Amino acid sequence: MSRRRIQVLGAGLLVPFLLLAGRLFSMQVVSGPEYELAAWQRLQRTTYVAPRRGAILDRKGRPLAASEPGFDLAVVPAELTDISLDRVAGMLGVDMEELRARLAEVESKIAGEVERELARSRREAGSELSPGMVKKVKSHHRGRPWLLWPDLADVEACLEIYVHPDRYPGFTIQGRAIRRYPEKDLACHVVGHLSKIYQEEYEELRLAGYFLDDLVGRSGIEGILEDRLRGTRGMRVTKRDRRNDGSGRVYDESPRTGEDVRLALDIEMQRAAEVSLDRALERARAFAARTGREPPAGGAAVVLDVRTGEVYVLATTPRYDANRFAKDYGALSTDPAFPLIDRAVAAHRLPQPGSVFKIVAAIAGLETGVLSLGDIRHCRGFLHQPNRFKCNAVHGDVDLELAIEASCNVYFYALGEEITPEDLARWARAFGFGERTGIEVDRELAGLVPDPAWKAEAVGEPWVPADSRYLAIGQGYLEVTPLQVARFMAAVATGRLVTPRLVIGPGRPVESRPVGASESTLEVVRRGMRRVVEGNRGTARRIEALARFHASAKTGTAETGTSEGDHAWIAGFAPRSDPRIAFAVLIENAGHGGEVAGPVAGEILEAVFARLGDGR
Amino acid sequence: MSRFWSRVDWVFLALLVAIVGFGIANIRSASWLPRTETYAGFAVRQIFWALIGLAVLFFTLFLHYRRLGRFAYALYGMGLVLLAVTLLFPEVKGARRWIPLGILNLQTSELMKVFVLLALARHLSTNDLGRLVDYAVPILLVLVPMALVFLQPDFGMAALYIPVLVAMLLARGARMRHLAILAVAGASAIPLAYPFLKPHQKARIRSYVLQAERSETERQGDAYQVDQAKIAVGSGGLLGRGWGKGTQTRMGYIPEDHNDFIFAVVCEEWGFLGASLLLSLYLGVFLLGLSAADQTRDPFGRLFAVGVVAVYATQVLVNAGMNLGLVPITGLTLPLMSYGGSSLVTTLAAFGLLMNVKVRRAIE
Repeated sequence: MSRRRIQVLGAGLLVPFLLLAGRLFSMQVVSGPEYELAAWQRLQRTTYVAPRRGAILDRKGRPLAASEPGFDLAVVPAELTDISLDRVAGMLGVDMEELRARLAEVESKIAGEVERELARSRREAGSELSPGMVKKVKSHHRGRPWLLWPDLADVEACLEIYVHPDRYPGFTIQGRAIRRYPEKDLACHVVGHLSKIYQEEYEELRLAGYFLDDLVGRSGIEGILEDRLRGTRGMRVTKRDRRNDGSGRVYDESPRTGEDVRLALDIEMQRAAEVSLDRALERARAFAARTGREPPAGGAAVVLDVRTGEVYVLATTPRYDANRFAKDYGALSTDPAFPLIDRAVAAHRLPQPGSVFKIVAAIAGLETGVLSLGDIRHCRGFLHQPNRFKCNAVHGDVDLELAIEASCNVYFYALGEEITPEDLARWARAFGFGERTGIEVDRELAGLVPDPAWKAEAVGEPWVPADSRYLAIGQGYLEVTPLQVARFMAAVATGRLVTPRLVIGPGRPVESRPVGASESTLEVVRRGMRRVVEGNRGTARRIEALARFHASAKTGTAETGTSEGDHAWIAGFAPRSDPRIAFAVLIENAGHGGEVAGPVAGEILEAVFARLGDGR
Repeated sequence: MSRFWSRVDWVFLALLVAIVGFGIANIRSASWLPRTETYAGFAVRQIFWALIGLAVLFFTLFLHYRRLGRFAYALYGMGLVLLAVTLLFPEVKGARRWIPLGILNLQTSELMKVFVLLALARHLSTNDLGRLVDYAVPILLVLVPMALVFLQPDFGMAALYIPVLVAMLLARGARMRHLAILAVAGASAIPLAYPFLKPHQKARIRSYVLQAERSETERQGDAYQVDQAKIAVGSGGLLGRGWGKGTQTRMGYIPEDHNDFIFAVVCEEWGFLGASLLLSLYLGVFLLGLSAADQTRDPFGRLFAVGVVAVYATQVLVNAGMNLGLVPITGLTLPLMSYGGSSLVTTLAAFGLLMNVKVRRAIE
């Protein structure tokens, strides 16, 4: 028990105290400013203000998608009284039963939430919870607002409840921005939809400034131009003073509204096209029912400006109400008619263009020298043998223009025999087939231009003459989209292949490239296409509107090789002198191009020229 | 008689009073309630208990500590009973530490601290420590209350006994060799005891000691406390924010700021200078306490003095370390400063006994 030991203990005591002092020094003097900053930050309260999402407008500024304030009815169960239930039901004009049913749903949600939290706490504590604790959890959940009725229509009633909460105890109105699609199903695929953020992508999106509850554009313009549409969050930092009411403003950054996006579409033209397509589809379905065939699934129509590529109409049928997309998704995704596909740019199985493609063959023939202006063939209704490579009629002696006018298969089968498939494919690609057009839609398909190399690889068989013959009349392995066909027609009209575009705005120059065909060649086929509408053997001569608007066109009736009917096509441009627009219409499995698709084209041209105006 | 008064270490007393007074001032600041903009009544209550504690201190000054020493084992036994009884009461915030007695919640482990010191000092002063087997009783004397406290559960308080035992053994002249053997034995004994515990106690130990199986909320709760404390400490800077002006304290951001984290309040409001001054006050108390041990020739008194210093010095160091984020959260309060009636009174009583040792060092 020496004094030494005690002295040693004393010294030993000194050491930790010095360490503490050292730590204090490091924290308070050295790192003082950092901690002070952290302390200062603790005193701030940051609230975020969500921005208004940009609108999607048509070319005249009419809204296709817009964010509007909406009101939700929320309930705080702990504060409810029977009177307020009555009053609110009366105020909103809703059925008491419905209100009670929703309340019951909320109650069961609360019960579930409470149970989950109690189970968690039990696990953590490793023991049963005191009744006081249980009560605390219950009253916490019953004391906060729960969504009862989203998106109430009666704004007046909502304001009343908002302004006089004392009259409706237990109820509260919560405002939020609701994305609405006022035109419902018009161009629904083009416009697209929004959805909540998924767990998997949240980490990444958080870095881009998204909050967990945000909605993000998924498809169509909503998705493609998400960055322009979403705007920037506003931030308000207030200093928490004793009153804690946020009145000391430290930093204020207003939210920046998202950019409005203007599309080349014209709502009225688009609507006319969609209605016309719907009616044609109805007629075709009725006809199929009568003749015991598979009913056709859908159709599409495209109208674009031949010079600028601006797309006035990108229509498809069937469609869906964009406001109900999320609710109806289950039904839509299993619908056998595939309403979720935009048939103007894609399909479950892309169609063959049929006789519309003969124009490409004609141009290819003329440009490669295989075909000359005065070449005459004799059509007996079939090429070599009666039962193979048949024609749709017996045409007798046919020159190129008549071959186009009457859509003579024999003429083009013969052309197919003389031209090389590589040349034919080359010209097809020159006119933009087999590649995506680059339009601002998601899931545009590229289609397919077959050639011997492709067939050897994809099918594993060598190219045979029959393939060339079919290709020349737009059948076989060839696959196209209506947009490609419309663009091709624009190229025939102007000699330049233009990039179609949906989004218009300053600083977006027209993109086009020369097709490489001579003007004289194009003139020849243009004359043939004029005769399709005006000639007395023209396959579209019965469509009065086409003649009235001086359209030049080509019909197509593409055999599908199945029990379903032929695809009905018509495409062209108008007016023939100084063309302004090019168009393409497709009704799947509906039969004869001129008969079924022709009237649709006529109705569309009516609508388009009524609204086109003089300026470009 | 005048010799008696002249031997009283007035400096020591002054230091104690300074610490207590400073504690009251800081409790007052920490008890600010931002929402109602009033002070909770902790400071007032602490004044009350401080006065009682000082009265007890003077009482212990007048009685002869050796007389108390004769009752050491009896007091020890009574302490064990009290500890056991405490375990029968319902849990408060997940632990059973108090016996409610109307105006006072008696924290029995605080009392036991002193009783163990008395018992250990008594035993060690009357027995040899020559062979390894002589360590059995001291260890047992410590182990039993440790276990009872452990079951409350109050891990921090239980662990406190170990440095105290070591200090007192050292003071008694224990050989390093023996201590090393005991250390190894002790470390390996822990896993042996483990299977005998009840499952929820095992869970508690795992969660506390391992700190790894803590649930996310527990960990976040701890981390939050420490973070808040550190921010308060660091933002005090050199001179502090001024009494009553600590923003973290005033906004109620520091949890338990009137007891476990009172040191953080001191750091925030009084800065590096203030906190260092406080640490110096404590150091002064402890060094003066050791000098009492040094000066007396009475083995019992010496051992007791060493024990007192060991207990409270460890507590100060652990609590301050906790406030600075150096030590995991232990639940040990800052003696003389943290709010709490029973701990304040027993601590003052223990220091009173310590003063007693010094006063009577030469009288015998």
